[in-house]
Amino acid sequence: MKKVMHLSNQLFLLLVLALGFNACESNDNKKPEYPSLKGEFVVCQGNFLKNNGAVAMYGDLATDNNIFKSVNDKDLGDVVQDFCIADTLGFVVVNNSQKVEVVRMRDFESVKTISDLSYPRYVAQATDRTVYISNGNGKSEQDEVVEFDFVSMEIVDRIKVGKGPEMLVKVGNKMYVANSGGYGTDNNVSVIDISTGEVVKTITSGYAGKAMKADKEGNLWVFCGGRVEYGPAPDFAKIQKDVPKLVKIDTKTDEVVTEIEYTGKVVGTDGSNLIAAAAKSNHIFFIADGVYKMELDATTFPTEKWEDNVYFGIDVDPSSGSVYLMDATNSKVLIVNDQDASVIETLSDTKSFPHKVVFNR
Amino acid sequence: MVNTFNSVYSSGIRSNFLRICEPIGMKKLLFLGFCVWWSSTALGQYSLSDTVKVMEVEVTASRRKHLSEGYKTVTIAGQQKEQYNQRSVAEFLQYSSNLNVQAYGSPGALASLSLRGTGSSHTQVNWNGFPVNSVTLGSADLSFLPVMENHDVDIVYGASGALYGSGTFGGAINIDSRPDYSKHGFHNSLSLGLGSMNTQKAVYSFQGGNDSIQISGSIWGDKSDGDFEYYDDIQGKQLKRANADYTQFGINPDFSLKLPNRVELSGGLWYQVKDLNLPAIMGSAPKDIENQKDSLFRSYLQFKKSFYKSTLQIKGAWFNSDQHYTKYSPDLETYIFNSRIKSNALYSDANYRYFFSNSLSGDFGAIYSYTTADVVAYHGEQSEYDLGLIAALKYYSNQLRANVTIRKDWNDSYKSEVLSDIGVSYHFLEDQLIFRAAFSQKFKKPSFNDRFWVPGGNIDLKPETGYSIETGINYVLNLKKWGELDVDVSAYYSPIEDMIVWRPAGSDWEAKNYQSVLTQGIDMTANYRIQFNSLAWTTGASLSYNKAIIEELDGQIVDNQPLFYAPTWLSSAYSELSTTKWGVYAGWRFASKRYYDKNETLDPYWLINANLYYQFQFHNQKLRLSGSVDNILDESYQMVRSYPMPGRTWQLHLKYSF
Repeated sequence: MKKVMHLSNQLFLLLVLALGFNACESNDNKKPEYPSLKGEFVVCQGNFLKNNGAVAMYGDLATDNNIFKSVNDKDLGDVVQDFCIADTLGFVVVNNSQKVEVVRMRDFESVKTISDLSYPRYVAQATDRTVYISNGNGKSEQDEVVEFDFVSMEIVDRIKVGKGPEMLVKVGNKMYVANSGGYGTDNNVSVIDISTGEVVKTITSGYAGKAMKADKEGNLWVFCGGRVEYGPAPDFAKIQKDVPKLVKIDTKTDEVVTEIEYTGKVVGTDGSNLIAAAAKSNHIFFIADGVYKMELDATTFPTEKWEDNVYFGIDVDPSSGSVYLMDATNSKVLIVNDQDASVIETLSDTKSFPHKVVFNR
Repeated sequence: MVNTFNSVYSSGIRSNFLRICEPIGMKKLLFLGFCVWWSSTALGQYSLSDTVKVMEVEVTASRRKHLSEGYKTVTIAGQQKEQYNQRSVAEFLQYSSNLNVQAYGSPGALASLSLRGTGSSHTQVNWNGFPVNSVTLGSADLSFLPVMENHDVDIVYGASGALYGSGTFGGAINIDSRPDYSKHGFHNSLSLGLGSMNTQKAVYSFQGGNDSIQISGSIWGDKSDGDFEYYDDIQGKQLKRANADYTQFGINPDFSLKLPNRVELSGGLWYQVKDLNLPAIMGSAPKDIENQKDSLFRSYLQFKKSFYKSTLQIKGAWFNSDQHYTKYSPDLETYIFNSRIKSNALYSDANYRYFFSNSLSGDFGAIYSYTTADVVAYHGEQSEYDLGLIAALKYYSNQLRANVTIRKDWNDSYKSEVLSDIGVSYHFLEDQLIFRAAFSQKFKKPSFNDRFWVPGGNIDLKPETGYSIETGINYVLNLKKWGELDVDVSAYYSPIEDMIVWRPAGSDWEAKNYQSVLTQGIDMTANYRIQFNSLAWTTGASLSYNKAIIEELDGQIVDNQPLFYAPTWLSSAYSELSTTKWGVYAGWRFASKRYYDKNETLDPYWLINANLYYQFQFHNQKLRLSGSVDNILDESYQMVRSYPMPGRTWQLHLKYSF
């Protein structure tokens, strides 16, 4: 009996120790309540396979570098690729978790998870009750734009487009879809008539069109990275099979009007948000071997860099015109003056790989 | 004479041997022992004429065992191997030790060991003295290593760089074939196992021989669906693991042969194939199916000869591995990714040991390896050679034992500095109290991926360099009829420079000598054993504290940034009751939180495991029935971010020995 008691005492001691260790390590997470969610939302992709993608909020009244987790007590998932605000809701695209989280913009609480997706990439508002989600990796049957009705909270349509659909830009009543090829190859932009949900035109632009923005005149600018292969031993140097280029599309005619090649330039980043255009500006900004600023009517590559460093992504504040430069190496965003690139402010301590800013003013 | 004494020490039965020696005088006994051994060798007969059979003492210890003073070494005991027979070394370490195993969840999935806060490529895993770490990655997959009865498994903490070569900042695991010449006749065992997730296992083991020849080996096969339930904290619901099944098969025969003129020849083969489906990470449910097929073939041959005052050991090995990874799209009925990784390694190792006196010996060794790897991302087959020269001195006395080792390595892309190692142990109170200390310079060469991967590999990478300082005390208190208490405390300090990290560089990632790291800590273990007639009770606990931090990043000092997947606290405890017929075991282990990203941590976890067995003996036949339950409280946890670990699982085993 004595021996048995020794054993039970020991087991009890082990249990106490275990609970003690657990208590020391546990964290109390209280759900935050923010008075306002006005400000900037930085979309942070996170590290592939680490499930650490996030949306960081730098609000007028509060800052939270992982607001979804703070409010919903769970991680977003793997590779947070996009975020957009439509009506009173926010839509967060989580690429490698094959979902889009729908949140309320008054408190960022999740209200719906759209999960019947294979490879979601970007999201944009289409009508006053629907959003479009680009979905497909270029090597499956599903290369499409998914239409989601956020009033009924249902997927209402799937529109077949080119391979590896990426960014979506709405101009007028048309949604433009950049088809990058994904794991395959493609070289065009699909034009969807939003009122009918039909692809009405396919515009040949260039291979690997992974970034696309509209300028203040309603023209589209598409960055086409081109196809890449590797050279012979011993260096196995990266060879651009197609020269990267910027393609300008006139959305009134849906024709390519300008192509500006990056001759002699190497795009020094793996990021995909490489063009920024302001609603009120006569310029676009883009990233190649540095940051360039270019007039909207330019037809040749700028002769000088606007900023020497290469960043992971770039955006422009539609109200102030300030330029946001995504520094993935140091997990921060630099807000710079759109005239002389001087730093105005820094959004520090973002999560891994900040690549896009969404403005909620 | 000195051969015998040193090898006895090295085999770990030093205290018993000394108690025998004392009454008649050490030197006389040694001389007598040498004469007996010499005469029996000359006649080509090794068995004693006495009717009492004793385990043959190995004449020469390996260089690693002979020159290991100052380092903490833990051996997986025979009873533990019996309990974990049919399971991998990864599972054994996961459920019965406080070591930091990083496992990817599913049965059969990748599992590696991270010692003292360092990465998995900083622990060298050896099979009969040859490293089995991946040529391309630098780490060793412990899920490939079965726990086999005819192998000794030692874990050497902070193993010497001068002795082992590249990649021992954390330590080393040594898996060595162990012929037992005292076992005569032919013995077999057949084990069958069933478990959760439709797990099925079978192992046939054999051992046979006499005083001159021993053959042993195992043939095994196992499979599992790996479809455990887990809580997906990304999706926020309970799910069942999909696409996580595996099948594997292996064979591992060994032989040892004693030839005339004090020659011993030994060798072995190890062939294993595995077909493993790779489940998606937590939160992800892609339609694509990932699969990995591995095959590995390892072989070695060893020649040992003993002279009057010296021994010569020459061995060689050839390893081949082939990994085929695919990602398949059912929609398109085509492969999205289809890649092969093939590697070959040829090793040779020669060591000459000369005994200057009873207490002083010198080792002179040379190690050569030629390695090739053919990987699509290398854009062609790549190769490298390594040459290492070693010289060492060992001093041995009753109380003081010390060794000094120096080494220099040449590689086709670098040559190391001259590395040194000094290890010492001081024995008090007839080995009841042992103080040990060691200093060792270390290095780790870049892996093939670090050097040759396109894009990002860097052929100009320098090896990681550093050193370690170890110290420890081991105290054995013999309480006579109240059993025996064994307490061990050790402390270590190890800075590492030029640690290789893959960093974003423009549009790609590249390997860089990027960070300086410091790992330091304390390990404590206590074990107690007592025998009440036929009932044995063993219990113990361990506690490890480790602080592994990044001190500099790219030359810039940083503020105590923790290394990823390095828990500050690891702890375990166990208790076992057994007789010759039955046994019951319960164990607990704990790991504190671990960083997987800056400011992001995996939750701490603790597990409770248990097993019991009952065995029947009929003459020379034995039937053993055992059952185990792991993670009894069904704890949800991850060892690697995004890969859930199984909850409560069970296994039943039936082993028939004849």
